Amino acid sequence: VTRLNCGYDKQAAALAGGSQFVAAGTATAITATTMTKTGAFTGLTLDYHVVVIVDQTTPFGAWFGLIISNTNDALTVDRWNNPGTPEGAAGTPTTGTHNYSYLIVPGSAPAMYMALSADTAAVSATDTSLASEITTSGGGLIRQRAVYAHTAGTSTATLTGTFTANGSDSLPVTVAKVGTFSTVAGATGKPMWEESLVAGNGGPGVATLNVSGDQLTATLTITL
Amino acid sequence: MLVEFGNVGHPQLAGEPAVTSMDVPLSPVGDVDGLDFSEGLSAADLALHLARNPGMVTHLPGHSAAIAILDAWRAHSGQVPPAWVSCPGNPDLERLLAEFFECARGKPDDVEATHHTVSGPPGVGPEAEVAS
Repeated sequence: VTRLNCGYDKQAAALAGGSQFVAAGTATAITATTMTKTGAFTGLTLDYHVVVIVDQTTPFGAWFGLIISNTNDALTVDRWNNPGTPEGAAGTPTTGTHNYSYLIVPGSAPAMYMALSADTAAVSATDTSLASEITTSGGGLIRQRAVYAHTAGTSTATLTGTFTANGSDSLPVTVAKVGTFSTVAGATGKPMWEESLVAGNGGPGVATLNVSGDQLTATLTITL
Repeated sequence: MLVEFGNVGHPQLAGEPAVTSMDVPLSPVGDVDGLDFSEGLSAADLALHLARNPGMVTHLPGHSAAIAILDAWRAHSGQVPPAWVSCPGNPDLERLLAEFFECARGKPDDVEATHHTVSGPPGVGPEAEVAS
């Protein structure tokens, strides 16, 4: 598995709290993927951080988003996640001008999600996206939360995904590359690690899924 | 959902017992956002399916959580079965894994005294983290 250059950026932010700050305030507007607070983010680089929003109006509610980018006045997140089920459907906070408090916290989960691709090219450390990521709406091969595993006292951890093809997927498909992300929405964010499955690239061999119900399981072992 | 194993085979620990922890995103059966688990699968059927499909591709819809856990375990175990498995959030999954590995169910009461844990090496418990 190859740690990408943008993966080092993620790791630095996660381990050391990032280059910026912890911030809090009251948002002026929310959409499904943005949060606005005029002037609040001027001069800051907040990608890889987590922003938590809390609805201050009955019946309240709280969600979090992984920041993909920001301007002086707004944050763009992959989506608003339900805290208890980040692998599930997106949260649905009330949009528009509403009474939200927000908190930007340092760090993130830089490789919480795993994605697949049929791209056979070798991994390059300068990759900033997973080329040809499978993003079929409703399909079973889309980005999903990975199983994180660690044995106490050791210097490695694993990320495992098992993807089950369904009737929405375009089959057959030969999966040739795996990437990990902090964001769940397909084709968003930057990968931390990638691994080519192509034997000629040092991988274990590509895997072809032919029919609905076929499953692909990939485990990436990472050295911390 | 937390799944923990008593690991006595990790290559870095030379046989010293350690806890392997897995954070498994469990979703309803058929949900594409996470892994699923259907009750009732026998360990014998699971083992037979894996023996017939030794590569990266399997075909056990409704059981992706078990498939993922077993694949992750291989990377931590040094091919040594666990001494125990604990999954209090899903007793049937715990049953399946215990039968598959022929190991004990439930975390030992003295795990902090006998295993490497997130608190530290054997003999170091969570109180050390509080004290520090």
